[in-house]
Order: sequence, then C-alpha cells, then structure tokens
Amino acid sequence: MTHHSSVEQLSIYLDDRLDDSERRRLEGHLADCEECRRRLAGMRHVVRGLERLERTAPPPHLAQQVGQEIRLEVGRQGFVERVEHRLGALMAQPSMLPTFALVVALAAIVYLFAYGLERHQNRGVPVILEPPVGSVGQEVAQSREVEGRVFAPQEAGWREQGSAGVIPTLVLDLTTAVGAARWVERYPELERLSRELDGRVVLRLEEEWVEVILPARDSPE
Amino acid sequence: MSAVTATTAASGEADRRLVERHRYGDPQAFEDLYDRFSPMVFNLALRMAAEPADAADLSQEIFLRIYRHMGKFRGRSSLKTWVYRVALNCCRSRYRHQLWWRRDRISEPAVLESFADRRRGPEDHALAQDAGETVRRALRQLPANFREAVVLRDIEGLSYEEIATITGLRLGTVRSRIARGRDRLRLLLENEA
Repeated sequence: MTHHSSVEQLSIYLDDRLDDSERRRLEGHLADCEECRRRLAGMRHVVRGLERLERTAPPPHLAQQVGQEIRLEVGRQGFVERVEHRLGALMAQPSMLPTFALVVALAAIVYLFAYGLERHQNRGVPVILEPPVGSVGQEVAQSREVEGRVFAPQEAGWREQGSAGVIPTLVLDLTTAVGAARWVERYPELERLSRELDGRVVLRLEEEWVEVILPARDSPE
Repeated sequence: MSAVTATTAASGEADRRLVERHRYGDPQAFEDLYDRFSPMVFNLALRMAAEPADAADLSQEIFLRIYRHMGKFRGRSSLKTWVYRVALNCCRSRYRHQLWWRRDRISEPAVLESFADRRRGPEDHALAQDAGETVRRALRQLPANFREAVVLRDIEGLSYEEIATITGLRLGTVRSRIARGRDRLRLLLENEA
C-alpha cells in the first residue's frame, strides 16, 4: 500500500525547509507517486499565484483620514492633560486641601449609603434552579461511542465530546455520491462514522473541527 | 559581524530612533512611520477585511491603534513585526464575532479595481488581474486562521519564525496552517477549473 506524503511535508518542501534526508526520501516517493506529484504541482501553482498577486497602493484619501483621526486623538489627550494639570494646581494650594478632603468624604458617604441600600433591597429568598428530573441522565444515556470517540446528540445531528463552543472551519457534505466519494477519499474515517451516525455531525478531523452532513442511515446512499 | 547582522542592527537602531522621536512629541515621526508601512498595512487589510471596500477603514483603525501604542514599543522585535502584530490583532478583534468571516465565504472583489496600483501599465495590469482574480476569489473563501497564515507567508513573504511571532502561535501550528491553507486553496482552484 502506498502512503501518500502529508500536505505539511509537501508545503515545507516547497519552502525548502526539509533537511537533506527528508528531502531525498520525499523526492524518491514523488518519483513513484503520481498523486503526490499532482498535489505538489497544484500547491506550487497556488504559491506562485499568491506571490504574483498585484500589490495595491493605499488610496490617497487614507493619509488625510489618518491625519484627521490623529489630530482628534491629540485633542482628546490634550483635554485630559489640561484637566490633570488644573487638578494638580488646585491640590498644590494648602487652602484647598480641607475642601478637597470634605468633598471626598461626602462622596464616600453617598456611595456607601447607596451601596448598602441596594444590598438591603436585594436581600431575599435565594432561588435554586434545578434541571428537570432525569435530563442529565438522559443526555449521558443518549451519547454514542463510535471508533473510540464519544458523540452527544444535538439538534438534527451529533457533536463530538470536547466540541462545545467550537465553530467548525469547514462543512463537508456527504449527502451526494460525488461529495461522499471525495471526502471519504480524503478522510477515510468518515465512512465508518456514516455507518453509525447521521445528520449534521461536528467532529475533529486531523487538526480541524469540521461539520459533516451525513446521509440518513436508511437512505439508499 | 556579518552583513545581515549589521543590517538588522542598523535597522533596529533606526526603529528605536523613530519611536523615541514619537515619544518626545515629534509629529514627523508618525508621518515617517505611515510612509514606510502604509502599503504593507493597507494590503494586509485588503486581504483580511470582510469586504475589500472595508480595507481603507480598517487601515485607518490600525494606524490609530499604532499611534496610541507606539510609545510602548520596546524593540524586542523589529518595528515591522510589531506593526504586523498590531494590524493582525486589529483585524481579528474587528471580525472576531462574525461567523461568516471565520468560515468559508465568497466576496465580490470588483472594488479592488478602483484602488489598483497606477504605476503598472494598462496591459500588465489587465493580465495580472485576469490571472489573479481566481486566486483572490479563492483566498477570500478561506477561513481567517488559514488565510492569515497564507497571506503572511506567500503574499507578504515573511519567514515561519516571523509569522509565529506575529500570530503568537507555535512554529508547528504555523507550519500546519500554511500547509492546510495552501492545500485548501489548491482544492478550491481545482474545483473552479
């Protein structure tokens, strides 16, 4: 059985970052493997295409807009500095110190009074929210283990353990024959999963979280 | 001292002088920084923005953030790397909560034509646009984490180590994202063909 080179190996080969022995091994494999040669050529085409993308000059109005924003920023900073300067000058006068102390004390009294009042008003019987009886147990009971992976049910499908809050970066549609053939070739584990699960399944494939749309298990596909 | 080390040291010294001038209130310092980095920032914004039309607005936000934080630059990396980091963080925070930016999507790149670089001749320009259009469209369909790795490597020409510093990722993750981004683009281009 031929093991194809990984995309990472091909990519760093393009960047000339493989050491001599790895490079020789990969070049030996490339000489025999048409599929890897094809993928390498495709990737090289991508890199060249990106390198040749035209650089775009910033629009002339950008410099003016940035300048305007900076002037506003300087104006805002200037205002804060002026206020700080005035306060500093006031504090420097000995006659102002008792007045300032009085203002601070009054502010503290008002704050403590308002805070105490709010706490007093909020005091009451604590409410404990409990999940409906049996709901936690149900979720555990309904989760399913496939090929050593645990899947929990979600709306219209399944979600692999550890994927809570994860946003998949790719959606693979296996509901058509072409889509199924293409993605199963790339990720062989999908074939085993599609025998056990159906609907929209969020799972980890290699290093990515993806969402796979699996056909209904009783469908002809 | 090798020529490369000498050039890096000289460039680091120039960076520090520029930042010092800004700290001491020299308005010309920020203008110099803008002249030096505006093409780089604008092109990064153009590739990372949700819509090309947002690139100017996003660049403006990036430069304002640079202005605010430039005084904190300590010279641990080059000024160029620091500017890239600020710019990328700005892009990430602007679109962080927008799901469609993080997943595959297609955008209309026609607005690019209005900003096209006038220094090229009209024929060069037309040819480059035809060839680049497909790549540009495919690039816009990449999720942001792959797109930023590929843009920094293959368009901006940065090393893996520089990308790791800018993105705050480990070298292995950078390698993987560049490879997967390129492979995803390959599949997109093959499908389009």
